[in-house]
Amino acid sequence: MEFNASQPIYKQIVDDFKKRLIRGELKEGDKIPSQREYAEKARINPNTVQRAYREMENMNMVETLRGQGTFISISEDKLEDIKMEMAVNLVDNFIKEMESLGYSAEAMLEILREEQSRRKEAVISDRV
Amino acid sequence: MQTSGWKKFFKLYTKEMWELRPEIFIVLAATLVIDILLYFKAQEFPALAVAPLMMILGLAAFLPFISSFKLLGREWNFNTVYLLLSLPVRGGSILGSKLLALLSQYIIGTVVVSAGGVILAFLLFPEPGLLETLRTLGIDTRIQTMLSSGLLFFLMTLAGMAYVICISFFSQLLGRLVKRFSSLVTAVVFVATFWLMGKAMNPLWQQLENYNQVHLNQYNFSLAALNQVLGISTLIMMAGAAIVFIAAVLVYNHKIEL
Amino acid sequence: MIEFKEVSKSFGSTVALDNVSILFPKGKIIGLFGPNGAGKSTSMKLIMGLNRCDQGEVWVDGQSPQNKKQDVAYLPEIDYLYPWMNIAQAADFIRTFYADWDEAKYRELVQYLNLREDMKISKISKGQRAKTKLLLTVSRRAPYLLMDEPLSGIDILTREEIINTLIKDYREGEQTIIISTHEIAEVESLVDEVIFLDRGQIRLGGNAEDLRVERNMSLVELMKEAFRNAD
Repeated sequence: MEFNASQPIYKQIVDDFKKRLIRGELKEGDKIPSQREYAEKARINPNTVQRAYREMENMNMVETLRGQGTFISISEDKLEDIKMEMAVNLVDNFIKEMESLGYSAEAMLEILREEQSRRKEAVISDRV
Repeated sequence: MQTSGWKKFFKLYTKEMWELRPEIFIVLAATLVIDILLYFKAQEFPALAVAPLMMILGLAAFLPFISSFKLLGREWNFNTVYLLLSLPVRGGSILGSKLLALLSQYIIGTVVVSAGGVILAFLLFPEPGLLETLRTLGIDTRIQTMLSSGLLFFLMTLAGMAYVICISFFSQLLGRLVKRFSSLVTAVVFVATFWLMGKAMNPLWQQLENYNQVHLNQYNFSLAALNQVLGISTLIMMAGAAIVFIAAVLVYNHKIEL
Repeated sequence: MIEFKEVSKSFGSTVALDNVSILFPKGKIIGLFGPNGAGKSTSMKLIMGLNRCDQGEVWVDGQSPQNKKQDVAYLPEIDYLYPWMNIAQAADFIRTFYADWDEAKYRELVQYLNLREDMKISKISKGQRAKTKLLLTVSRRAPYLLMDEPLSGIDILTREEIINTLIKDYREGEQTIIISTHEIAEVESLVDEVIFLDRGQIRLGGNAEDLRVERNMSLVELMKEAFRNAD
C-alpha cells in the first residue's frame, strides 16, 4: 500500500482496512497481519501501526486475542455505519470542492445526473 | 554476557599491539639480518660487531617513542577516535592500554636485540670465551650480579621510556585541544613539560647525586650501592611518569572533544 | 529520555547550537532534520558525550552523557571503524565493551545485509561500509540508538535495506532511535517525532502524525515551509 505523506499514516491504515471491509475483501473472523508484519511489509514505524490497530480496536473493528493474533470483529450495524461514514466523507469533500468552484447544490446534482447518463452510454457503447 | 574491566582493557591492549605489529616486525627482522651478517662477517674482528648491535638496540629503544605519536595520532587521522570516545571506558584504560602496548614493544625489541647480541658474543668470541675475557677485565660475572644489576638497569630504562611516552601522550592531547597548529602546540608542550618535570624532580636527582658521591666513586664501589641507585632512579622516573600520565588522563576525560 | 536544557555550543566562531531545549521521549523514533550545519551532528555528539556544551545541560535518563555511554549505540556519519579490521574483528572489538551485544541478531544481520565476516573494512564499497556500521550499531540491544546521516551517499537499494533493518529490529516502547538526515522523504513513514533544526535553533517540532493532521502537509513540505518562514 502506498501512503500519502501529507496525511496521517495511521488514518490511512485504518481507512485501508475500512475499504477492504466494505468491498468484502475482509470478513468477520479473518485474521489480519500482526502489527510487526504490517510494519515490516509496509515499511512504516511500528508505533504508527500500533496506533492504527489501537484505533481499530476502539472502533470495534478488530479484536486482538492474546497469543493468537488480531481478527476482524465487527457487527453488521457497525459495518453499515462505516460504509455510510466513508460515503458521507467522500460526498462532503466533493461538495466542499465544488462549492469552492462556485457550484450551487442544483448545479452539482445536474452535473451528477449528466455524468451518470454519459457513463451508462459509454458502458453500452463499449458492449456494442 | 558480562564484560569485566580487565577484559575491556585487554581488548584495547590487543588492538594496540596489532597496530604496533609493523614496528615490532622491523626490529625483529633487523636483528635477525644483522646478527646473521655479523656472524659471518665479524669472525675476524668481533669488536666490530658492537657498533651495528648498538644501532639496532638504539632503534629498538627509540621506536616506541615514535610509535607513541602514531598510536594516538592515528585515532584522529582515521576518525577512529569517534569509536574510541564512545566506548564506555575512561581515559585511564584508553591511555593505559596504549602505554602498556608501547612498553611491550620496547621490552620485546630490546630483549630480542640484547639476546641476539649475547648469543652472537658467545659464538664470536673463541676460547677462552666471553666470560673469561670479561673477568680478565675485572668485571664481576657472577650470574646473580649480572641478573640483579642488569634487571634493575633495564627497569630503569623502562621507567624512563614510560616517562617519555606519558609526556608524548600529554602533549599530543593538549595539541588536540586547539583546532589549528596542533603539531606546534604538541611540540611546545612536549619540550615545556620535559623541562618543567625536570625542574620539579631536580631535588630528588640532587639527593641521588649526593648519595652517589659518597657511595659510588672510584674508591668506593659496592654492588648494593649501585643497585640502590638504579632502584631509586627507577622509582623517581616512575613517579614522574605517573604524574604526567594522570595529567594526560584528566585531559582525556574532561577536555577532549571532537 | 534525553533532555537538552538551554544548550549552546560553538566551535570557534561557528554557532552549532543556540540555546536549544529539546526533549527526546523514550520509545520513539525521532527524526532530526535540517540542512547541513544545522546542528544535527553536534546534538548527537553531545548525547554521546563526544562534545561538551558551552552552556546548558544534557541529560540521558537523568545522568551525564559521560556516564551513559554503555546505553547508547552511535552511528557517526564518518567512517569510524579501524580500517585494518575485518567485519568479524570489528564486531569482536565492539562486543567486548557492551553487555547488550546480541550475538544471534548480529549473525542474522550479517546474512540479511549480504555481508561476509572476512570483508576488510578498508576494502569494501561505500554501501557495504554503511551496512557494516549499521550492523555493528543495531547488533546491540541498546536503549538509545543515534544514527547520524545513515542514508547519505548510499544507493537506493541499500537505503531500503537499512530502513527495513531498522523496522525489523525496532523494539517498540523500549528503544529510542534518533535519526538525523536531510533525506526526509526516505524516513517519512519511519519517524514518530520530528525536530527541524536550522542554524542551531529549533524551527519546528512535534509528533509527525499530529503535524500531518494539523497542517495537512508531508514532513518534506513542512520542512520547506518551516525554513521559508525562517528567512
